Amino acid sequence: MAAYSDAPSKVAASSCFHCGNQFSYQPIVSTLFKDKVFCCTGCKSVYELLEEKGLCQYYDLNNNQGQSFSEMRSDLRFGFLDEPAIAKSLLSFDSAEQAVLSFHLPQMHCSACIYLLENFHRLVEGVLAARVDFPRRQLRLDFDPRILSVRKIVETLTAIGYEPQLNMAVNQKKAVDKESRHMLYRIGIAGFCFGNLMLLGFPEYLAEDGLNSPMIERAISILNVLLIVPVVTYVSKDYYISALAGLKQKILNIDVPISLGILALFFQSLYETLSATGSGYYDSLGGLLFFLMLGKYLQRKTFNRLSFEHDYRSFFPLASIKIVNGKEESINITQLVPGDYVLVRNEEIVPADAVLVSDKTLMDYSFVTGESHPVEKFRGDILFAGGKVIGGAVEAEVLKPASQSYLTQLWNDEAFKKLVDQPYQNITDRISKVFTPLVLALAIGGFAFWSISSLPLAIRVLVSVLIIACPCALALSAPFTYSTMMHRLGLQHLYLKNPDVIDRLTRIDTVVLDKTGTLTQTDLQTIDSSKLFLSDEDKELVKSACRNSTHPLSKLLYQYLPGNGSKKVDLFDEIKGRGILAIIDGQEVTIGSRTFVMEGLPQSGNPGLTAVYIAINNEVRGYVSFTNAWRSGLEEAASLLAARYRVVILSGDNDSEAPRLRQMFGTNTVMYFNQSPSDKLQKIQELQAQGRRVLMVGDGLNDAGALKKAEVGMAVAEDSSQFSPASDAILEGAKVPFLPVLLQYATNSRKILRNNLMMSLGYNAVGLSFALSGSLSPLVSAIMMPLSTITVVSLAVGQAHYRASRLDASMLKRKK
Amino acid sequence: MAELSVSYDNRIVKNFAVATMLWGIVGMLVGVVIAFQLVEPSLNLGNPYTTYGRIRPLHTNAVIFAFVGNAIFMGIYYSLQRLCKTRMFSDLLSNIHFWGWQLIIVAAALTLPLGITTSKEYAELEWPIDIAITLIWVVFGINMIGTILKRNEKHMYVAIWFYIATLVTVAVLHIVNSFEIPVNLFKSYSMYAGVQDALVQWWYGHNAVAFFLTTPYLGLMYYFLPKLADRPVYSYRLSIIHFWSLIFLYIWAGPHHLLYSALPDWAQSLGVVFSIMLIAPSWGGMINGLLTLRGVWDKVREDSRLKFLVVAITSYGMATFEGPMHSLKNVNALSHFTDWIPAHVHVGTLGWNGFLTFAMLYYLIPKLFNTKLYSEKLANFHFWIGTIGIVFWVMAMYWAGVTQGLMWKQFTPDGYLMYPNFLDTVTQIIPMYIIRGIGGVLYLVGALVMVYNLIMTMAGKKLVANENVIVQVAEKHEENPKVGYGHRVLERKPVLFTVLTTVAILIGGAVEFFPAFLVKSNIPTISSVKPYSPLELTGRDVYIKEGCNSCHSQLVRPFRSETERYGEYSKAGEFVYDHPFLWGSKRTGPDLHRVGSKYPSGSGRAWHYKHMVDPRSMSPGSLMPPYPWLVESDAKWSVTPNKIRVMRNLGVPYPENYEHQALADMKVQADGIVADLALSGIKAKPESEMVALIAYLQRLGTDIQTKKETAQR
Amino acid sequence: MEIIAFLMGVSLLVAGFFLYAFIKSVKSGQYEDDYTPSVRMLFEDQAEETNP
Repeated sequence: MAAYSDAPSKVAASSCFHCGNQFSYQPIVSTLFKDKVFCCTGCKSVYELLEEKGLCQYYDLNNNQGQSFSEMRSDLRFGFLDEPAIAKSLLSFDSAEQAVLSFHLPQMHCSACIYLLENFHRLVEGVLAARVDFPRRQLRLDFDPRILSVRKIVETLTAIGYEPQLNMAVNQKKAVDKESRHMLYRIGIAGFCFGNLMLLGFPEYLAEDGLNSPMIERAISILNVLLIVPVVTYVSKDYYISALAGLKQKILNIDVPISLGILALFFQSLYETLSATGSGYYDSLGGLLFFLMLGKYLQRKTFNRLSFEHDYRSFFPLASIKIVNGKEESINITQLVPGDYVLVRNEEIVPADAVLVSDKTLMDYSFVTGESHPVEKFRGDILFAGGKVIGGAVEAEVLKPASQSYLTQLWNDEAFKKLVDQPYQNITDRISKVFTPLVLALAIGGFAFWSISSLPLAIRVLVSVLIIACPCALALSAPFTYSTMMHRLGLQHLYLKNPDVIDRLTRIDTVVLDKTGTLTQTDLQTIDSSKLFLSDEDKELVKSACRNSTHPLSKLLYQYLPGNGSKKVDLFDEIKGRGILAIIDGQEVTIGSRTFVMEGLPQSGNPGLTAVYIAINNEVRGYVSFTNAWRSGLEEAASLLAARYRVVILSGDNDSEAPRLRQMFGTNTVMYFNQSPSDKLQKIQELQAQGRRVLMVGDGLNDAGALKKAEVGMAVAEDSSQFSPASDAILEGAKVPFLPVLLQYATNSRKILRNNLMMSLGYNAVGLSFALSGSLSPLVSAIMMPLSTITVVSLAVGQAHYRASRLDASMLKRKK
Repeated sequence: MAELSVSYDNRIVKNFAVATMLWGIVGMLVGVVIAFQLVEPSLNLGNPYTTYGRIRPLHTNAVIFAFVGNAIFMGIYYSLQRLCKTRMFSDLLSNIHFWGWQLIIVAAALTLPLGITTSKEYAELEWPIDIAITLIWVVFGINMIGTILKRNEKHMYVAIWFYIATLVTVAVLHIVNSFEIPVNLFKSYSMYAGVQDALVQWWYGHNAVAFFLTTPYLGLMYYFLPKLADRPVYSYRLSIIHFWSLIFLYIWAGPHHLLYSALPDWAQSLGVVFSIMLIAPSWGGMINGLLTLRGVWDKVREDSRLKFLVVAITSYGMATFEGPMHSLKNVNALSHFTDWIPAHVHVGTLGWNGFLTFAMLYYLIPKLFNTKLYSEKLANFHFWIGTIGIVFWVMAMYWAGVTQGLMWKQFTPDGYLMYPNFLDTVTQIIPMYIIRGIGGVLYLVGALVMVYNLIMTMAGKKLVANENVIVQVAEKHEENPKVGYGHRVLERKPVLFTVLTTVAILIGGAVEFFPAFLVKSNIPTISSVKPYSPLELTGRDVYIKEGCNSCHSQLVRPFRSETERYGEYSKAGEFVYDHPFLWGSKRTGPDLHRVGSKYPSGSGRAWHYKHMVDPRSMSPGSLMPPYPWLVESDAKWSVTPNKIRVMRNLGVPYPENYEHQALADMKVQADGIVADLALSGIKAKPESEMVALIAYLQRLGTDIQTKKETAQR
Repeated sequence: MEIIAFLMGVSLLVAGFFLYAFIKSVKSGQYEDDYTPSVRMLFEDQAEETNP
């Protein structure tokens, strides 16, 4: 129910029976069920639907709260789904009498949602079965295509408040994560062998005076060998491969000693068994690999299910409407070619760079450039792909195919592709660089030394050194620490793509921040009227004038000014792109851009600001300026960041906010304004060229390039289910002010890691001393290895949780 | 068609529910009776059929297989239909299952008082009934798997896994432990002997607890707890892990029942290790259960059914913690053979099984009759009186167990037993026995109140025999068999799953048989150990018939306190001809393994005779029931040759054709005893059971020459 | 003798079976939805309009 609890509750007049939202206006009353009131016709219809189908258990499950209903928008929006090609592209199975379709529905949030959606077949004729995968927010529908169309399904889902995500990415079939699957196989095999080896090991340990049965002993040893083979072959395969790969590049990575350790252990055990000189280390070896695999898996498995791999396709619509000799037809946007005429409706995204054919429109580029104010475009202007049309539907002529448009080319040009998956060398590798040669040297040295006296002893030393120095604990502490921290960060709404990101965060020295949407809240505007001098009745005049305007700024002004603006307007004229002229009570009110209002008047004031000037009877009364609201608690965050890191600000906006920013971040913070996406990418590259390791924090598509290029790209999203550009991490907007603390989680994990490394090195030192002295008893190593592994792992996890909770606490303090 | 109309079979559920209530009362009643028999021997009513040794098994069988058994079927038949969204596979099988099971129970109720028993705990029923059980179980199995196969819900909820595990394991356990060779319709000998038999028996015994009293109830918990609390189980993932680790580990825990026994050390320790490991999964289950209730504690306050569940789950936690503790050698050294064990067991049965069953009944009966519970007040009363009953019962027995255990081990400063007379340690705890009895009565009263409450609930209401519902049919198409709904492949293949479970159990059991089967390498055979004489063998069967092993162990453990009291500790090699073994599990009376050398062959025989006829005449204050009828009753010598033949087939080295010689030998030995008795002025019939029993008792443990004679009392 | 052979057979059989089951289940994405079923079982079945 969290979805609702933090929803801003307006004046508590009545609350909707369906969605529980409070609303102050005239409630809609159900015609069938007089006693219930609703906030909108949509909620009403869902309720009636549920009631009539006897699904009202839904409300019990949901404490009277349904998914809030978004007013049914024009069915036309889904018109494109009638296009067989497009509809088909959504189906995962298709036959004459049955089709299967899966949707991602981020809106589902509670057991009641599951109930409602799994009863979808009772709401809609023609649905055969509905199955929810809650953790993935997936709905799978089997339906009868003869009775039911994809469009109808989508529309009904939307009607009951679960609008499916339809975008170009949808029909890009998700490839199964082969790798982690193979890991699971390995875990399974390792786990199974380990388990049985342990069982077979027990009698050995337990029978002080032997099993007094050679038969059982033989049986056990044979089974041991059989069980260990898959472990040292299939399970350990990757270590050998990566070790060899490393050697090819003349690098001694961590996997070299591990591989050697595994093999040494294996052959030693084999030798002991065959020569009947001992019982080998089968269970230790099995356990070792089991834990190693577990660690690897944890490290890989992203515990949250957000997608970090968005590209422009997840942002652009699935289809758009092409106009062919006056008739509209839906077409997959990949098929748009220059010269096509497209129809883009209100709130829809321009699929490709195009020239505006209609007279004028408002374009909202906020998600593209970060510029938060709609800009007016006129016939002949270029509309960039990714912009959102506001106001009526417009026609435009396509200039470039979607794939080559201004923004999307970012993803398509080769240079950018290269940025993907830069190899970052992680901490364990860095350490093993030192560690491995040392171990090898010791092993060989020991061998050389003892070989003088006796060769068998020398071999034993060689082997035991490799065994005992096998840096498994070392290899394990990183994944376990990072995975734990990653989980804790997730609880703080900073979601990481994988634990490696933490390691990279620890080495950041420069923080690059986007302004709009990152430092500011896009959805919240502050109006500065300090430069406006109006008497109350003047205000009344202006308000009345604004009332008739559709321009977003006039609307804002209208909401901002006091009074009710009910004066009769005798004459009203809106000059496109400039402002409005109105005559009220014989007074001439001009509202609009500087140039428009101040024609022929002396120019002054700050041109940079997004400002609306006001004149009454040709006498300028000043202007109001609109600015985005800073996120609360930003000042403290800013100073902390500036203290610890080199901070750079890249804004797509004009520099009107520069002073304020300077004041917050201090003087040695570099700022660039009016940055295009490629500029931003450029700047990051420059910084990196100076040997800086950069954390890029930004939201819009226009940051996408930078986000990918930086060591760590952190996308800011108002809520994590919403679309955000490809990145290594997703940070919830409200948490931006906590960035400094969140970065501390990373630095802390590094500390933890250091402790653990010390520890495991300590173990190794002790073990080595035994080993080198040639007096390493099987028992010692049998105990040492699992012991070190387990202690290190548990310590890693323990510390991580401890430190994390301390940071959590410090954040809570800051909130107060 | 998207929807399918399905009709759930409620009548079968109701039948099992009624049976549960009926047998529950019966079983608990017998329990109360035997509880007080241990306080006042005259309550044995001086006839064989109501004597402790015979009706104690009646109690255990009634509560385990009749009460809990029917409750399991009730729960499974209800939940399985709803989880699979289909009716049971076959109504016919359902009814065969129901009536067959009740028939078996009746058969048990008749044969046990008649002394027809194998003497193996929880497996006392003789071979014809064993076969019947197997058949009915198969019927149940077919019905269950059939239902799963034709289900309309793709996913198999975790509860079903537990049900399947129960089905398979119990089958395997029952069969393996019931390998026996019939002598006649009412008598058979276990295939295994001595240590082997003990191992098999306790592998069975432990797992009977594990897979009859635990796994099915965990399944039921995972179904009824969420239903009653109206919230999903705390962690579904955990419940899946819980299942696998539990089923794998439980199997291995058997041998901890045989600590300090003649079982090879390492096999004992293996059992210990696994018992300890068991804490993890068991508590996983408990925590999962309790956490499911987090946030609805307010509901718990008003809903008595949830109260029952809370106590049930907590008891499960306590019992599964205590079990592993008992398997620790040093704890076991004290607790084994004492009343501590019944206490431990009853936490589980009264708390976990009893209370969970009550919760189910209070939930199901109103649902089946589509009505409200007659009285929530009475249910509440039931809860409280039941809980108090458990506390009385358990606390008293913990106290008694520890007290007696310590007294057995108590030495005087100058190295003599503080309480050489076993009776002293018995009279000491009689007050505890009384309190235990009271606890039992309270619990029984609670149960009676429930039965009344539920009868009133059903009265005048009509059973919804067939509950018609509309279910959604499972998807027919996999968009891509490799991806998507795979989650369920294992679950969707019940057959494969069943096989896997079987194999898991086999490997577990199998490894335990390592020592036992390899008799040669594990049991040092002792040359002086000879087979029983025909008369002794007959006497041994009297011992079994009267259930002497319910109160007397035949296993002296290697502690000074025991060798001092009973004599040389028992060697594995001494039991090689014991089909079945008679080690016993509880010492209400003293151990009897060395009793043979305790009383001189001459006058000793008279002592035994008198002691049997009236125990208190020989040992005042004894709790042992008198067995006067042994004097008259005929030991049926005619059967003995056949017994000899069977024994030889089982590997006991009786010479070829010895059976023809047997009767003559019996005559000789019997006459000897009769003559000795005559010296003490006792006229005894050679063919009487008394004579045979004396012969057996005097033979006990005399094969190896004990170093020192144990001090006379 | 044959007991040990038997036991080895069994244990290896188990090994085979478990690996088979495990890999098969992973391959088919066994461990995908481990939450929804626990909620699904709570929903009461839709009673059929009983027409007498």
